[in-house]
Amino acid sequence: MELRLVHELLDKPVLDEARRYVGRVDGVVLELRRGAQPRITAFEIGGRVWARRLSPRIARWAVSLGERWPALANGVTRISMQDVRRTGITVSVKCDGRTTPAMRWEHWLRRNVISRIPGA
Amino acid sequence: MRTNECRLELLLGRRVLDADGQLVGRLEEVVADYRDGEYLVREFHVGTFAMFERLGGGMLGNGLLRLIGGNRLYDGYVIPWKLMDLSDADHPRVTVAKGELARIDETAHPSSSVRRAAKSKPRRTA
Amino acid sequence: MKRLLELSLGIVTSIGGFLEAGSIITAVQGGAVFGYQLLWAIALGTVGLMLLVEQSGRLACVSGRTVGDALRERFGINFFVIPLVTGLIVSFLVLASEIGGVSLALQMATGISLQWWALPVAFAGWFLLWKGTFGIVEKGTSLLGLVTIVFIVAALKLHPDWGEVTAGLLPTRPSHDRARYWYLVVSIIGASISPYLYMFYSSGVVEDGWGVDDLSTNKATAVLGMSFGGVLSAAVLVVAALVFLPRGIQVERYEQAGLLLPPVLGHAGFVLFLASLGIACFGATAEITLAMAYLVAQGLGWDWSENAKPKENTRFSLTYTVMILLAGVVMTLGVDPLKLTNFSMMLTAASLPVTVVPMLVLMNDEALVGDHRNRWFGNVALGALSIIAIVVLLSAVPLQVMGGS
Repeated sequence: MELRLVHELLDKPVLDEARRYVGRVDGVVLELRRGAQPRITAFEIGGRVWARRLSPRIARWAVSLGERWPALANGVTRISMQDVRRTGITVSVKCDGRTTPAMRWEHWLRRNVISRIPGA
Repeated sequence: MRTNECRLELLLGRRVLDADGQLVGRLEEVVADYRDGEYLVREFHVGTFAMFERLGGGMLGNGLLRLIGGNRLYDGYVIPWKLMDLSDADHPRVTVAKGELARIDETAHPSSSVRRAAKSKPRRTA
Repeated sequence: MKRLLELSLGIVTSIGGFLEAGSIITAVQGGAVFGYQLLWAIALGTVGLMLLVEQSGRLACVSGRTVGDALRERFGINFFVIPLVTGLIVSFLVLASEIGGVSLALQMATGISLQWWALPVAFAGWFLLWKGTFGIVEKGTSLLGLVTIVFIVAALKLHPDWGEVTAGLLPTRPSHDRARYWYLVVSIIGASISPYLYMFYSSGVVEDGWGVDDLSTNKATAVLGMSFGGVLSAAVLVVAALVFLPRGIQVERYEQAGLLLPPVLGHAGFVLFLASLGIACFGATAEITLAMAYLVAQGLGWDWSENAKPKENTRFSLTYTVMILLAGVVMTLGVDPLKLTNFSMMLTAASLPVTVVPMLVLMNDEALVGDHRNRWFGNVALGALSIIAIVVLLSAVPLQVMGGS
């Protein structure tokens, strides 16, 4: 079975086992091995990850923002390819999205900002 | 076996040179096979954009190349994993001369299965 | 029967957002200076919008992806930042001008300066988004927006020479003030084909769960709904041509636009004008804010849904909250709403290639839309639109300099 990384993995939305939206595939990790086929080990979700694709300067700025306000720093979510169930229009993974760093910002906002506003 | 990590998304759009230092093109796609529970990279697709080649390089340029590339306005080469040297991720190199590479055959590209709506929409369950 | 009801509702809701500060003002200015001569620009803009709405709707129906989703997934983040950044900047300015429009209507109604109204208006818009669902936002503002039919009534009451009106549908060379003429042409196109409209529409298709079975509804909504909006704009222009042109009134302030309907409909006309302006701009305020938040959330990979409660999509709801309140702040600072409207329409027109050209790729991508790819007609039309958009982009700066008031 074939997987075209750019067309079928990168930038695609990621759903967890309960079909909750976790984020988009922002980066893909290749493991290079001497004398053996390169292996795709994991993919990553995170602002820092896609910021790097734009330019190194923007990436550095994203990292320093995260250091200034740790609450805003999502951290990078790395999901092993072993946990990937399906790729294509969406990427389905076998874990619970709520525990990933990708949702950290979403939860922090919910607890500290959004819930304080009536009617949320 | 020594291992090394490399980021696909940063490889994309990079200029790929051949063994003689000639420009082959820009890295467009990486194709992997799922075998024995692992995703193993089989080949790299490198596109030559002819006159649009100049666009690439900066942040904006790479984006524009991707827009044009989508239209298949370019030709390109297929590089089997064995012939790709990624030891310097910023400067991927092919280990043979350009002339020895196979060209991308358009008809060989499997079109992804048509996307059906509704079933795989990333909506939260209630 | 149910289909018919759905269809009419769809058409009505699609009207919402079409008539807003930009289209009203540019139509009034166009009619006041050039009579019926600019009707072709409205027609062209309307047809262009129809095209984009139908296609973005088709994309969403078949693939379940909105335009924002598709731009990120198909072209990657490096390309996506281009429509993201331009879209946000342009939409923000348009949003501020819409808030200005509502505030100005309130100023004309109450005498209290618009700068005092800006933040309350922004807050009201925020409240609608916070507590409302997509359906409420879309249908509510559109049904109320039907008050804008008053422009059609006024136009009919004035008994225009329909021959001359029809002649205006063909492009003619202006007899005077060429720079201003083309400036208005471009602004009218920008006012008609606001990208936020069709991007909002594709998100709406996904929010409403439309699928392949709804393609004909999509087409009818696009054609009939946008046509109706175009007719409304045209009506505004016709009234301005008959009321302002003979009196030599060139509209340089919103208050002058308020003089549009009283000669035809008396005091009721004034009230209805204010109501139309206020409601239309308020609807646009909500839609543009949502469109901006959709674009950011969809492109960056955040969960998004107006139908969900705000605390379920916190980054999304925070985004629209910040946008709308910031835009309110801008208007509180005393920016001239008319100048901002004119400027933002020009900017919108100039930014069209950024979203229109990628549509050419998206609507032909078999992986995305499969058998529902563009036929040759759709591609030719979209291609022509792309060329027009690029020409507009190239002429925007000189026109703003030479033709802007």
